[in-house]
Amino acid sequence: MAGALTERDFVAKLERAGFGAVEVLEREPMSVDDCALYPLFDDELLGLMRRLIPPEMQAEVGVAIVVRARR
Amino acid sequence: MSTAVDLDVALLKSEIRKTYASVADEPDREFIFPTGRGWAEDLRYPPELRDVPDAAAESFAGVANPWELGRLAPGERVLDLGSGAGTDSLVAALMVGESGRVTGIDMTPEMLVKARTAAAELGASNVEFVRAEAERLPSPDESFDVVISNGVIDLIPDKDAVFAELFRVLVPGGRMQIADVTIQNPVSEEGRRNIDLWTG
Repeated sequence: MAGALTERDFVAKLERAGFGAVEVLEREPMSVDDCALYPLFDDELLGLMRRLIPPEMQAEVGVAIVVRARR
Repeated sequence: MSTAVDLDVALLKSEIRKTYASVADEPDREFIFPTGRGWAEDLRYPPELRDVPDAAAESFAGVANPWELGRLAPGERVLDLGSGAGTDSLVAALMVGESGRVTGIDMTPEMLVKARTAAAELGASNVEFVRAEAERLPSPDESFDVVISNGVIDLIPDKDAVFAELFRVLVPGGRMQIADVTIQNPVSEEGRRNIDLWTG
């Protein structure tokens, strides 16, 4: 997840590459517990996230988005 | 490859390949991971999912449903970036039909084997799976009408290179419809240097 961008940066990079009509059409929040469902999040990493991310922010550490753009 | 921070990209890719090779080879292993046909059904995947062989669907590892943006048209040429075990590529192959073409790109050999096996089982002759990295696509300019992808781009260090490649291979007026993960707050440079945080 360290490689993920904020939505604003994601859209900006698409536009900088030349894409237009960029639309984010769905947003599904991901909590630390949701991240635990994915194979790249091992116990060590999850422990780190739970220790380092403030509790009030753990409910939405990421957002699964669906994006459309046109060349 | 240029990235914003000092990151061992080769090590990062190796770790990602290892993890997804495990997903491919051990679909029954307890990843606690929403893989598989049931997960795709929960995401409300299109009816073509029913025809996708288990060899592909059991290792489905998407993060959302890019098909909610719309179906593909018969005859369209489609690139599936990070095709994994092939579920989205095969859904696409069924949508575009015999007159269309689907190319799935992945860097994990174990996933490519599964995807090719599933395509053969389905009898899909309009789809191919190619080992390649997203930053260097082995496709000519303007060779696809649509790019699809699900849960892949967040794992790639050089997003600018990826988006430039996608722009290059799409025809003018072509579209991308993808699902991915974003974060609420930028990760610190220290975090970006941590391979474990990247691969998660």
